[in-house]
Amino acid sequence: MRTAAPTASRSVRPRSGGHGRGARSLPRCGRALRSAAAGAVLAAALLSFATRVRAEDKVEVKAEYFTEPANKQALHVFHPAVGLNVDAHPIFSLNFGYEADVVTGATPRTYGAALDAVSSATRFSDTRHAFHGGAELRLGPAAVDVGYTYGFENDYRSHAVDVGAKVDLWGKNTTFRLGYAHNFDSVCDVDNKGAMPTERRSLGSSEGCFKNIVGIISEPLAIDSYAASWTQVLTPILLSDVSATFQVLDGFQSNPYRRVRLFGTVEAQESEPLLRQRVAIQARLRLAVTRARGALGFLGRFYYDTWGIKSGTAEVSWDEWILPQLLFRVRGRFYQQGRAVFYRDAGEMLSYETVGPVGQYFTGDRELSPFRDYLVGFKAAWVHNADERGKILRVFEQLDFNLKVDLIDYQPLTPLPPNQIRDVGLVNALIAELGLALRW
Amino acid sequence: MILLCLGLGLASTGCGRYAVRADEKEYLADRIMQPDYDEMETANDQHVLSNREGSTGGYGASGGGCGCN
Repeated sequence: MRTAAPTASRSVRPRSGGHGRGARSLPRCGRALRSAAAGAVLAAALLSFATRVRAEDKVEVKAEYFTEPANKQALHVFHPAVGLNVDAHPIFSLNFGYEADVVTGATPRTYGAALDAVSSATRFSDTRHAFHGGAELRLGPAAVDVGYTYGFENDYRSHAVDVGAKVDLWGKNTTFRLGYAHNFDSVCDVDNKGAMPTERRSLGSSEGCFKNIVGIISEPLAIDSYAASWTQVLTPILLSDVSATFQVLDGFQSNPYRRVRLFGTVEAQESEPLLRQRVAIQARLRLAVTRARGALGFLGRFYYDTWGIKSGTAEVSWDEWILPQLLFRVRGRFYQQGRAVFYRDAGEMLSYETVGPVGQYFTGDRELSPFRDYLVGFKAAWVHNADERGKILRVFEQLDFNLKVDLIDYQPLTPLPPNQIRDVGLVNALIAELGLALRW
Repeated sequence: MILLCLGLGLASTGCGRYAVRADEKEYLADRIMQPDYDEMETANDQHVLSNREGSTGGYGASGGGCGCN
């Protein structure tokens, strides 16, 4: 096993938007975007303040391609990202990042009967940009971190701040971390003030968003994310990590474009609760297998929110240096979730079309339907370190070039969930990623 | 799943036989012993999956804890 390989440092951090929000036509956004925003800021808060035991100068570039290649409802997302970390002082670092999502695809405008789901798929495209800046101050065994992210796309604006602190204790065998992030987000919507939920109109396109046009408004969404994490060295070959997050989303969380068919004839804008609270607990173990120069990884995660979604995640991974400079990883992941309390499936007896909303709520969001998915992934990384012959290109201490491919199979647990056509077949989604990191 | 989380959590609380010394951290210092040794990839994963799944959060932080430097 290689030793003393440089640790990875922070990457591009808060994400203030999501893949799914399209613009000119009909994006698949709504909570997907909010989830991405909130989750990303939360992840950023975690990743940002605690990860660099030893800061380093690094520039990193990644290009990721995600696709759900369904017939007539294909989705394509190109996601470039670049991150830069610079040690301005032995105890002070600055970091900057940029990332984008270039999204194209097609999705049904209305959630309802099966025939419409296929025939009414509407094309959409959009690009999200997010810029980040942050700083970290290290004081002995402790470190504090602050950051700011601005993200924007045609129909969404996001300002996010995050702050965190960590401390290494007991010979650096224990690390505790706390983090907090807040999003000040705005979502473009039709002015439906005063309308009953079943009377609300959906947004036709993002034309006119954030331009003070009559009939188009901006809905606020505030997100508070709290995180705590504990990393523990258990033995010379065993490491554990336990994390918990709590998140409160307060504001508009529906997809402004999406409609749901009610009582057979009425079509109204998706209506979801304004408040959502989410809790997640995750535990991980890393076990070094010294003879194989590899490491086994285990992950378990439990999630619950006040919309009634419960989910579990399990993951196993194997990393191995198959050559002194070549790292290979294989992993498998399983995920399953239940339905939101207000989700009705179009293929069931008690659908929105037959019995109407659940209270005042109704949704056409696949993320709120019950399903499971399987992921199998492979990754290879070529890591070249400077040696006695000198630095790489006379500048760099390390070059890290990596490639990964993940395949995902979605399995719906109801007869006709939203975007059901994307769940047909064995491989429903593919993720491919190329990365290059240079350290100096 | 809850049991798995609890089990892993409990394993984190008291299984250490003793404080691991710095000179015993040869293997812990390897990048592959960090749960998120490629943080940008981890962030991208979370970005993609939180857009396709109804849950998010619970992510751990990488690095730290190994005391390898």
